[in-house]
Amino acid sequence: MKRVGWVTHHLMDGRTGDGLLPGTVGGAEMTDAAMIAAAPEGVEVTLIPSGDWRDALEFDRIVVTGTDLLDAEAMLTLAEREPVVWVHHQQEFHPARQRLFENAKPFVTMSALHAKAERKTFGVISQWCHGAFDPDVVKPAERKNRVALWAARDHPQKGRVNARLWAFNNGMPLVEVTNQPHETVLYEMSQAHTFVFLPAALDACPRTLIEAELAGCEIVTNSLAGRRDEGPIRQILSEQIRKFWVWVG
Amino acid sequence: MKPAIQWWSNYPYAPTGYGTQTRAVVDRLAAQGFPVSISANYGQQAVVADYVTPDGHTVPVFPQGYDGYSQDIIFGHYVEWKRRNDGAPTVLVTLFDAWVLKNARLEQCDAIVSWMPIDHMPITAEVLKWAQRGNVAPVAMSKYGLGQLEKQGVEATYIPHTIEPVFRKTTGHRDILDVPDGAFLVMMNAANKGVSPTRKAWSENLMALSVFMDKHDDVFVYIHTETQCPAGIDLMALVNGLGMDKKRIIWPNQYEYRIGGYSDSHLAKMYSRADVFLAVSMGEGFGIPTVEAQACGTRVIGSNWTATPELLADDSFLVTGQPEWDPAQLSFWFRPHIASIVEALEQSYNAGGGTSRQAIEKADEYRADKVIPRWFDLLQAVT
Repeated sequence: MKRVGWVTHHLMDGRTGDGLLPGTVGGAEMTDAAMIAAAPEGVEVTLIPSGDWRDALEFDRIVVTGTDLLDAEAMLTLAEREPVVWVHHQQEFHPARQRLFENAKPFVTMSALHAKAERKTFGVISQWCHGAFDPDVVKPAERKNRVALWAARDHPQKGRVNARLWAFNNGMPLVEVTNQPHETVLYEMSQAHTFVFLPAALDACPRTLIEAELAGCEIVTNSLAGRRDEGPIRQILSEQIRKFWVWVG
Repeated sequence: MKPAIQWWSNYPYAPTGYGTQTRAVVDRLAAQGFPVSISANYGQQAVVADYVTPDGHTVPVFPQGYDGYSQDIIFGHYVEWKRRNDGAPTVLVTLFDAWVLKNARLEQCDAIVSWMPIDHMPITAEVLKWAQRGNVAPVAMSKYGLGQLEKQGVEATYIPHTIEPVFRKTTGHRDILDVPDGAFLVMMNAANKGVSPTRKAWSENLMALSVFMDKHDDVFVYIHTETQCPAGIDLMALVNGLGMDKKRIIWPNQYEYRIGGYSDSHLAKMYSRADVFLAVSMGEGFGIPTVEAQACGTRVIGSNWTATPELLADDSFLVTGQPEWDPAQLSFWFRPHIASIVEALEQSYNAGGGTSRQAIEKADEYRADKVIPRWFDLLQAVT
């Protein structure tokens, strides 16, 4: 049994205090949870909150998916263990963080766009992984409603006003979903004709864009949103899980 | 439910493009029942005063700040207006150059609709950065500006500036200026603001006029502006330097001009009397006077750059020029060719002045009552 210590602050039980309503989780939390759930047989994953990072040193392999709450000592110490480092959003430069990324085996971002951004900041080339998705988690409704959907956290960077302007320009009613359970978001995606996501800052690889595509929505987005790799979506998504766990080893 | 609107721009009676557009839209927003206030960045100091629209609606005007662009107080006024509307969704509408909007707390506004001039080619980095903000809905005032935003992947919409019904061809005012009956009258109407660069291309325009006037002794010029202004250049010195015939150059009464004493109806008579309107510049976000002049049946000479070409009727005149780097805004202005301005003046002279129906039809595209209703749906859509 391979024991993997998973160091993160993206915790599904609401311990992040990330401004989310109870019962809701953000993309980073879902990304971690979904990948852990897809761990192959023979791999045992233990979640380790960032504050308890030293516990990870006891494990066969270390995965780090949240660096925001790690201090320099933590990053430098973990770097020595050559962990898998999988970052879910654009990182702020810090010399200790750069060391961690340089030593990671491998350093993983979320998309080609995200990889380009981190390379610019840290000078480190990364692999990328969009996350684990169940391609059957949502299906298009038999008859879609001629509405546009915006679904995200209510943060200015998530482009809520941009979406409203797009809907105004295109004469389409806009349905807005924020701080709602994942099931609600998926339902609205299944019903909506168009999914609008026009972020104001780089968004590494929004889960919502992949889910909206699975839900049969037309996607309206911009160059700041990381996209999945080109190719048949089911094939691409299954490849994400396979390659991640190969990296973990 | 209509959102509350706080309109950040010039005082509505300021004799500026921003002032006239503020008045045009705010009057109609108030008439539609939008709770609207004005946050003045020019023209109102010290106290909150009331502006009363022609329909009798009272619109509070919040005073400008100490900072040159009122950035010290812009957010405070927004918060106060939101409070006065019981915390209702509140839209901040900005009508001004976007690059001055530096108050970091503007990120907290529910929504910002920025009616933005784009007068360089390409769009400047600072203006683009503002347009890309998550709570900003950019409204281009020209199709040129919309194209620049869309080229950068920015979701934006287009609403042009407008003119009021007072701007229409009038007759019987040949003696409004003291010029001989058969004189060919060139009119200019431009703010004398800006030293380096002088966006209104005073030296190029006046040098071209100097050449034109030397050739035709029946040419007179009316220049509706301040001859000397701390924020502008000494136009009398330029006229003297060019050796222009001062007897054939007419200026407005400087005191009346300074206190905003020239009404729109008076301007309409001037435009109607003019044989051509000279409006060449280094760049325009829109160019309200070019539309006003055309509404009065007068052809226009303008720069073939940024917003101007789309505003001009086919029988007006576009002048050539070359790009010139603006080191302050880090993009390109337009340096008009003097010879091209002279050529356009000659063409207009040979066309003989008179009333252009094409100009009037073109200007009709920008009538306030036709265009301004777009604001009603937009402001509701963004909140």
